[in-house]
Amino acid sequence: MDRRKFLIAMSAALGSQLILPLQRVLSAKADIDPVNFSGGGTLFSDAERASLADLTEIIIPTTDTPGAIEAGVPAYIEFMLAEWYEQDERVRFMVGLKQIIAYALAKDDADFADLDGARQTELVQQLHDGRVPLMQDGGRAFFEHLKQLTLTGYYTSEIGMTVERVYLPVPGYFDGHYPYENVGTLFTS
Amino acid sequence: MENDFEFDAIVVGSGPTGGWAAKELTEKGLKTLILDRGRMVEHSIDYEFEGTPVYDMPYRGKWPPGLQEKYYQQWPANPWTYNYWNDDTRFPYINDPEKPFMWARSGAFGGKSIVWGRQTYRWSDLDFKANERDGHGIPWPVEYADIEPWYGYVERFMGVQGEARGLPQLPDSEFTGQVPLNFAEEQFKREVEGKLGRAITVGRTMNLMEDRPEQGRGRCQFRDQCGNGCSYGAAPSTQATTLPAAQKTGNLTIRADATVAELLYDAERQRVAGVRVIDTNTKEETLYRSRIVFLCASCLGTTHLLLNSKTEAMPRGLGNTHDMVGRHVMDHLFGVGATGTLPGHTHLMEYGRRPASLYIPRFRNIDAQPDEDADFIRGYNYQAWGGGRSGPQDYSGFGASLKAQLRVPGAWRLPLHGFGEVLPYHRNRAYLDETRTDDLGLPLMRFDVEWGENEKKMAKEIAAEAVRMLETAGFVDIEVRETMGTPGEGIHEMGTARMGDDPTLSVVNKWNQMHEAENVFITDGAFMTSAGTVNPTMTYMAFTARAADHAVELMQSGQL
Repeated sequence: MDRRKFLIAMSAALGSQLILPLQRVLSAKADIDPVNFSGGGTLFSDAERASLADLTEIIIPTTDTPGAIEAGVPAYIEFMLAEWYEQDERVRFMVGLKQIIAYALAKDDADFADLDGARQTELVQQLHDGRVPLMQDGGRAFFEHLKQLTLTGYYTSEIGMTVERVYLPVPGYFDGHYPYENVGTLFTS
Repeated sequence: MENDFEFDAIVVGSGPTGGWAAKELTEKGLKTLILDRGRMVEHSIDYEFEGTPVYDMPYRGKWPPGLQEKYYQQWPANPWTYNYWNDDTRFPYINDPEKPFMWARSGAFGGKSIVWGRQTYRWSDLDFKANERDGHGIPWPVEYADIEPWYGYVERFMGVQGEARGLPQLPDSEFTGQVPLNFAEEQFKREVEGKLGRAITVGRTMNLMEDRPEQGRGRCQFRDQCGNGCSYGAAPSTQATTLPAAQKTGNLTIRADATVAELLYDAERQRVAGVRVIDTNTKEETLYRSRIVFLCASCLGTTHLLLNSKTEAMPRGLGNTHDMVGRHVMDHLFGVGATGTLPGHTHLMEYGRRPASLYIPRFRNIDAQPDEDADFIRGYNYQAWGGGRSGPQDYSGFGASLKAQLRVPGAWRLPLHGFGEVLPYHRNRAYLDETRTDDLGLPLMRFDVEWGENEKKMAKEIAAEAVRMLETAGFVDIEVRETMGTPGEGIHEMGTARMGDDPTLSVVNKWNQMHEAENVFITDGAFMTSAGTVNPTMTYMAFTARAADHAVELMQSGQL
């Protein structure tokens, strides 16, 4: 790996000259409807937004049901980070995102979002395994944070609750011996 | 002071007992005013988040930023229900960190009838005779036979589901339908009944299991939405049940946002002449006068009102000549129990969400007081809400495999939550702070309540017996909860204006009528002379209906 290139990219992402603007961006309130996330939040740059979308889709991909992107998970994460989470948690996530983007740039000379799926998955595996240099716990901490936000965003989304799982607003009766194979997933309310 | 109205009756509070008082009094022909300090909540129309799935909730069901601070003392409030709870920024209580007390207060018309747990059990003479038998507190001046017909009266109107078992310690209600047990509960029941000889049944709750078009109510839909407001009217809120009945008479006047600050005592007639009301929003004051007053403001709400009604004749507050008001605060011992896992049977799961689950009726200190091997008196029981298949367990990895793992629910779990009887201690009290006031200028409540030795010994056994029963029934991975809940956390606060024959030791007589002001009836939890083992709300309702009947008799015979 080109360590020098990586360090330059990393300092560009996290250099002291960027700390103040970063803080300002992070503390900005996105103008988003709390229910219907517009996805037009002010938290991320276009490149960050595109990278985050791909990261969430790798964690919860499209299979026989829609994945994280179709379920609106990236917009959910951007909204919750901007509107709900405390500043330190927001900063921690933003730093992790910038670091993995910088790492991809250093290693592949390309934006994370422009890499092919297999390469992106390799990088996520590296995060999962804690093998990304210079990131906290080798990227494991960021991965867990990203995964937790992705899962919450997905399984509380309309798609997550009604397509991936079976939405049961008015069951009408109770059966304490219901065969799991009839649904093969969980009920939601 | 404008707007002087004349009513036959004023009912303070619109929760489970206020609704019943209004229904009974209006149906017997009294022009009745019902007051509640909370905001108006119209049946169905104002159940703002009823049926709202997480994906349609602001912040996906997390508290919107800044909102929870308004309900910082209302731990049961959540983003679906906060509209029904007290605004703690305007109306806090003083919580002494050395002796914490948890006070759940309504902020809505309908009171806690919208949000309560609906568990519904008759008392038996085991409960009514408990004080007399072991010498704690004072004897009840009534027994089961006095209240039995009123239980039936309340049950038939409200609709109570459950299973008739013929247990002497837990008399059967007149049931309408029965909620089934789940697979794990059935195994527990079979094993524990067979091996330990203890009765296991389904929790009895006030949930309607049949359609009643004549009441405008439909049967339970197994949504588990009771506390969000139930437009079917299957959950027993005032607005779904007693209020429409009272309104139908044409005798009811409703006023929400009406905080009763004081009862106006007429020393010459030794009666209360009316109430002073402060509008919760505009702070405008109004006096309302009536022939009789029913206090249904919740145990601690009524306590506040009595203590704040100071006159020259009763400088310590109405009915408090003998320092009995605010004393003997009780609750149910709560928070202790255990949860176990039933191995296997993962091909089965639950369909639907019940308003009740397994129940273990009292089995301790029934024949003897106490049983030979018990180091405490009175009894306890268990509820089992929150069981069924647990959530997915394998969160490892990412991608398609993770998605597949999250389609698999966890094992069958059965949680046992103990509820224990608390003794009436004179030292346990609620009182008014001398300097600090709320947004309406009314004194803040504070508390000096702690559990005694009997409760601590009982708590130990509740935890141990929960473990023993789960093990007996073949459950594994048992997690035991041994830390006693904080006083008030059971939300069964009661006893601060207790019933008794002796006017120097009690506040109301056997008809819930104040010894020191005979036209005032206290029928919320304040009148309870002991706490009993079971959930108390239906007992309050039954006494309310009985007191209303008696009050009208007294009025008709010219005694009131």
